[in-house]
Amino acid sequence: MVIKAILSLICVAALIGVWTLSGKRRINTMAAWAWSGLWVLGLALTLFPELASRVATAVGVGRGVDFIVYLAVLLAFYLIFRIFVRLERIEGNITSLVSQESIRRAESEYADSEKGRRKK
Amino acid sequence: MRVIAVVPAYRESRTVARVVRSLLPVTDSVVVVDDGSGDRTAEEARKAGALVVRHCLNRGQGAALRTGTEFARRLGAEIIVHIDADGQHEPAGLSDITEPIVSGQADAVFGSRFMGLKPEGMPLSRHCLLRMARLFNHVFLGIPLSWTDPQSGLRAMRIAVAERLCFRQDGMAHCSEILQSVIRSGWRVTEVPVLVRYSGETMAKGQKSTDALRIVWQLIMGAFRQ
Repeated sequence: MVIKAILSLICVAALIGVWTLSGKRRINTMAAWAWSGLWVLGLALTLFPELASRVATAVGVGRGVDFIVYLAVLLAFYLIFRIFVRLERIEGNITSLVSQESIRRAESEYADSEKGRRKK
Repeated sequence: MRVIAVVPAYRESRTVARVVRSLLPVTDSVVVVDDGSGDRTAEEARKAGALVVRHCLNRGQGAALRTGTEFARRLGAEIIVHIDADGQHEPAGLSDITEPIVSGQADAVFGSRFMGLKPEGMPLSRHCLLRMARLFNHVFLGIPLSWTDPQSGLRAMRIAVAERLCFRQDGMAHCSEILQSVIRSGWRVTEVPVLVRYSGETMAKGQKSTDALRIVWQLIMGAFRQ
């Protein structure tokens, strides 16, 4: 019972956290709903563990806990992948900025040196 | 035709001046892109007569080539040559690379280490790796198996090709990406034999065998970049 109470509290705290972040516009509404769905599912499985067993039996996994672990691993891999893709995009944006800035600086340097040469 | 060589350089203060001096007699200008080296690469290149563009951060060879290509385009290049700064390519062979473009036979020309001129000092492991890269490029990127050297860093192209070139890879995977882009766009493209000299220095600085895995990873992740 204690573990149920602790896990339920974590899920509720996470839900509150999600909507606080959404209120501060740190995450968009779509993401807030997606995360809320996940934490509500966690809460439901914590309060009614037989639900997980029923779904696990239906999909042929066996134990409800195994089913939850499989789902969690899949979700973790998906999130890691999303982070990698986002990192790639950020790296690309940094490169674009560095490139544009370096060209701008080089052009102004050579324009200045050309002016200097003409004055002489 | 106005030929501009683009030389991406990262911590090449010992070799870049020699490479620039050897390129100047066979090109109209040399653009060295100092990719955030933090040593005297930019100063040495400038002293040797190159136009220098400096990345404030190290972004990789592909990124440096993109910057250099854009800068060369603004300088009015008609033919752009990509060449490494470590001195492994023979500048005398540069005319072989540009000649098919000047004579109107090709739009882009790639140097090949496997068309007769035996690379000097190339270790067997590198040779095997490049053969495997050829197969990988064929299976996953659709580059014809008849293409002898998809990882070549020496290439020349007409400015029209450079302007439409679509390569986003910042790291070493740009070689495959450039070749794929040029072939897919339907440009007239060919390979010519080039002599490459591997020395202890170029081997120490160049790609490691394990970089092959990194290139594959970069190509996979790059496919998801918008």
